[in-house]
Amino acid sequence: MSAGRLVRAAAAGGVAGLVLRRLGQGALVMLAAGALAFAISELAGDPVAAMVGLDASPERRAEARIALGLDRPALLRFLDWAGAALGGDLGLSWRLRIPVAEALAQRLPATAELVVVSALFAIPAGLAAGTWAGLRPGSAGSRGAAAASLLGVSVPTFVIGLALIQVFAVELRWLPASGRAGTVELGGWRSSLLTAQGWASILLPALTLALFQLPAILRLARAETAEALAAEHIRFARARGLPERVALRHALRSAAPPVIAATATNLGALVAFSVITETVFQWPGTGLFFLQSVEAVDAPAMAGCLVLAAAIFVAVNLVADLAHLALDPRLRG
Amino acid sequence: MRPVLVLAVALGLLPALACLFAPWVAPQDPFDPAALSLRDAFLPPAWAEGGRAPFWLGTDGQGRDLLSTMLYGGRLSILVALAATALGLGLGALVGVVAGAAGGWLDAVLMRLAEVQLTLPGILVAILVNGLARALLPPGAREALAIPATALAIGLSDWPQFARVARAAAAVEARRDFVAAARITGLPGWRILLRHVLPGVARPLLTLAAVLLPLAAIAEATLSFLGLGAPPSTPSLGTLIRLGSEQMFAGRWWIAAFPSALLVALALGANAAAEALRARADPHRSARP
Repeated sequence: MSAGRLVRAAAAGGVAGLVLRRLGQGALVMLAAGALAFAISELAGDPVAAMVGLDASPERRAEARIALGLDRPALLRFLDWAGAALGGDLGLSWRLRIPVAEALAQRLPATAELVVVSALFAIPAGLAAGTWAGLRPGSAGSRGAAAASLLGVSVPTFVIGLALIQVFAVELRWLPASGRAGTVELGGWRSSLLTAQGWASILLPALTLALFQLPAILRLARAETAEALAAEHIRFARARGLPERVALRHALRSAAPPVIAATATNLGALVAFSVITETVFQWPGTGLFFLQSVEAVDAPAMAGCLVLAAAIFVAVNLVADLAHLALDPRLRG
Repeated sequence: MRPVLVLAVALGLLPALACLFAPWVAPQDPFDPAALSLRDAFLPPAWAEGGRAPFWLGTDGQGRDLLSTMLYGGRLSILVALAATALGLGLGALVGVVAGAAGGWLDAVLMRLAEVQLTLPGILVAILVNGLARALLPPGAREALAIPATALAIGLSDWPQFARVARAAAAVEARRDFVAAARITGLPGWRILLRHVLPGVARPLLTLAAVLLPLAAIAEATLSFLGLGAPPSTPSLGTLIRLGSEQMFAGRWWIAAFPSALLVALALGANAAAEALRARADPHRSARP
C-alpha cells in the first residue's frame, strides 16, 4: 500500500481504527478464500461415486449422500468445513491419502527456508543499489539501474532458474539442479541450513527467487529516495548549508518506511512465486505440493493450499502495515 | 523517448511481427506430420557441430524445425495474452463503471471483492482458476479447451486492477457537466454510460492494458511451463521451454534457450512500450527521475 493512502487511512480513523479495519479486511479475505476453497472441494469430484462406485443404484447413492451429510444445506456444510479448517483439519488428500494439514506441515520448512534465504540475498542488494541510484538521479548508473530493472521484470522466474541451472549445474557442475539434499531434522523442522550439502542445494533456487524480487525492491528504493530528496525540508536543509550527510540522513529517514513495508508485503508474493521456483528445482516445499495437487486435481489439497496461502498473505500484510505504522511517525496521530 | 526504450521496443516489435505472421514467415509448418522426419530429431543449431541447413536454430525431439515451432508458439503466446488482457479489460471496465455509476452497496461489494482478490498475486489466482477449470471439465475436453481455459484464468486474475481504474475514472467523468446535461435531456442511463462516460474511461484503461499485456504474456508462458497451459500438441513458448528443459542435461541446450530468448525479447519490448506510453499519459511521473 502506498504511503499516501496509509496516511489518509490513519488520519480517518486513528491508529486503532486502522488496525481494526485491517483485521476486518483480513477476516474478509480469509472468508472469501475459505468459501472458494470450500467451493473447490465441493465442485471438483463426486465423493458419492468415490464411496459406492459409479454404477450403484439410486437408493445406495441416496443413502451415501445422507451418510456423508450431503443432503444438508450448503451453508451448514460450509460452516462444518470452516470449523474443521479452523481446528487444523483440512481433510484427506486424494492423491497422497494423508491429511492435507500434515502434508503441508511436512513441506512448510522447505518453503520457509527458501523464502528467507532469498530475501537475505535480495533485500540488502536491492536497497543498496536502489538508494545509490536514487541519490544520483540522471547519472549513468541510475539510468543503468532503471534499464536493468526493466530487463528484470521482463525475464520470467522460470527462465532465470533454467539459465542458472544451465550455467551452474550443466556447464560448471558446481551445484545440484534439483532436490533438497543434506537436510538435518531439528525438533520436527527439516533444515537445509546446517550442512554444506544443504546450502549447495538451496543456493540456486534461493538465487532465482532473489533475482525475481530484486527489480521491484530496487525500483521502489530508487523512487522513494529520489522523492525524499526532492522534499521541501531537504531543499531547505541544503539551502541552509547543512552538511550533505545531515540532509541525507533526513531524506533516508522518510524514504525507509514505505520501502520496508513494501518489501515485507513482497514476502507474501514470494510464497506464490515459490510455486514456480520450486517446480523448476523440484524443491519439496508447499509450492511444489500445490502444483502437484492442481495437476492431479486433488481438490482437498488445492483447498488446503489456498487457505494456507491466504493466511500467510493476511498475516504478512498485517505485519507490514504495523511495521510501517511503527516506523513512520506521520501515521501516528 | 529515451534511446534505451527505442531499442527495447524495436527488439520486441520485429519478433512479434514475425510471430504474428508465422504461417507466412516460418520455414516449415511444424504441425504438418508429412514435413517432419525423425531423422532430423535433436539437430543442433546450423553453426554448431552436426547442425545443418535449413534448420538454422536446430530441431526438437520430433524433428520439428525449432525456429518455425518458436514462431508458431510465440504467435499462440501473443494471442492468448491479447485475449486474456481483453477479457480482463472488458470485465474490469464493466464492473468498474457499474460500481462507479451505481454507488451505494453494489459499489462497496464489488470493490471489496476486487480488493480481496488483489491481496493474492495474479499468478496464484491464474493457477487456481486453471486448476478449477481442469477439475470441472470432463477429462476428454481438457486438452481441447486448455488454451481458452488459460486465457480465461489470466483474464480473471487481471480484472480487479482494471475495475479499480475504471471506477475511479468513471466517478470523475460522471460528475462532468456534459453528463449532467445529458441526464437533463432525458437520455437513458445506459446511453449516458456508453456515449458520455466510457470515452473518458477508455484512455486510462488502455494505458493499464499496455502495462498488463506483457505480464499476461509472462503468465501464459509460466502456466504453460508448469504444464497447465497450452498442451504439447499445440505448444506455446512456455510449453516449448518446458520440453526443452527436459533436454538440458543431455547437452541439448538450444531447445530451451531460443524460445526463452524470444519470450524475453517479446516481454521486454512490450514492457518498454508500456513504460513509454505510461510516461506520455502521465507527464508528472516521467519528470520524476
